[in-house]
Amino acid sequence: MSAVLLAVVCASAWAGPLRRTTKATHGADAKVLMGQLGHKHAWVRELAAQGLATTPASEPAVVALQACLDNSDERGFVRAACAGTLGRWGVADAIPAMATALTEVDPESRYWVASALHVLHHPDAQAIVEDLRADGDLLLAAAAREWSR
Amino acid sequence: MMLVLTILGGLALAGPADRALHLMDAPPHRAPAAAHQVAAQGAKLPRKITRRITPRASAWLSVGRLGILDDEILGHARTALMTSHNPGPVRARAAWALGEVGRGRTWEEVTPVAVLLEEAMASPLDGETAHQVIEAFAKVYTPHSHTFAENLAATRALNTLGANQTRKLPGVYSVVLDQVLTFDVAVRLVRERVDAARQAPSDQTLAEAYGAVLLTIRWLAGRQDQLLAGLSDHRTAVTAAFDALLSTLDLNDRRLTLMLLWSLGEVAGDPAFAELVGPRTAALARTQDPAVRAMQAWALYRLRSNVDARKSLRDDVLATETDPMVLRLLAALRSSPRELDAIQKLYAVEPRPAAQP
Repeated sequence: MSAVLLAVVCASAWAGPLRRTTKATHGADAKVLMGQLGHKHAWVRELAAQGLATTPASEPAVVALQACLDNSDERGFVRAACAGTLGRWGVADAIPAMATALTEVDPESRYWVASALHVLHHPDAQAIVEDLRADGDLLLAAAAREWSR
Repeated sequence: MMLVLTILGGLALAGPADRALHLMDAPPHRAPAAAHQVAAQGAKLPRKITRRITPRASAWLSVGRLGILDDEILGHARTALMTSHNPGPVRARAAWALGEVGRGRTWEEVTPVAVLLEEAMASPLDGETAHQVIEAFAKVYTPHSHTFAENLAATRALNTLGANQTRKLPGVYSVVLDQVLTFDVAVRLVRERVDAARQAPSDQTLAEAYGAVLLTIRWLAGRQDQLLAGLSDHRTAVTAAFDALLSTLDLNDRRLTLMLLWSLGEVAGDPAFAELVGPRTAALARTQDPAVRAMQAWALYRLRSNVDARKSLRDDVLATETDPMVLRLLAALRSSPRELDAIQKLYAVEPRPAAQP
């Protein structure tokens, strides 16, 4: 009986990172989400970075997200998610790192980094977005034109 | 035993969505196998189709990020996308994955993807799936140059998608259209769609004819100055475009007629274009519908540099019109109270000098 109970407890502790991260996002649990930023799976890190946007900005979280954004070894979609939350928090200090990420990540992630720059509503970020109006990526250029109106 | 239970319990609770998502981290040498595995999961159609949406949509997220494209994956994507009763989030994510796996490839490699997306555009789609299909199409189609036949097929598909959508289309729709729509394609599409609507009038064929007319008008409006500047070179083509548009009037569809008359008044006001459009607009029979008569009067006024349009406005409209709304419209067609109105201009009324104090 105790073995079964232990198994259930262990299994619950394992209960998928999707469930755990989603629950932390809904509960605005920054501590869990910060922990998930170091998860071995990229999609969990992405989800955690996105989830942090539901919590109030804190210095440790900003530092962690900026480190993620700066990390050129990180997957593009994770860096884009980190940029997205920094953008929503209005962290203008992240603009140079976002500009760098734009040159390093895949096209889909570039779109989301550009979107993060757009939501910052900062003149420096806006200048970068305006430059993207002539970007070779049709979808990004169209979005930049829309955002620059 | 306890360990086995723990592992099984953990796996069961970790859930199929987690397992599908884990696979997107597969190292390059294992990516093809991982992509096949998740694509197969994404293509599963449970007996109760509304179940297991998250795992299936997550599977397509992994497919898109793994970036593998082959016949097997395309087949699974077809199942997920083209099964009309499949929930929108699964279909939308499958469409997104197609766009992602098609990025950066040659046209030969992505032709089957583009063809599948065109098929999807011609089928009923929810709003989110339609959006993702258009974006995916933009990713695989627009980076390459295309033949007339390819652009015609693409425009046809986009036009059908537009005709089937009741919500406002995303901005990317116009962006893609601008890339694929050429003058010849627009004219051919209008002729095709008008013929189809004439032979088998239905809500669908009329909506597609409406969409084709709108596309062509947009095309003309966007290049009005350019076409006017080089009209001597483009005269045959521009005439063909206006002829195709005017043939729409034969369908006697109220919405189409109203839209076309308004559009012609907007784009063909320049005397050079009015020469091409005025006679046919002037020859349009007067109808019982005062809204159509008002729009026709407005269009004729805008085309008044053409003698037929001016004559029709004077002899057919002003001489016979009794509807106060139409007459009020004509009387209001001036930009300032001091300017002569349409009626005064047509009868060449001399402006009275201002009274001396």
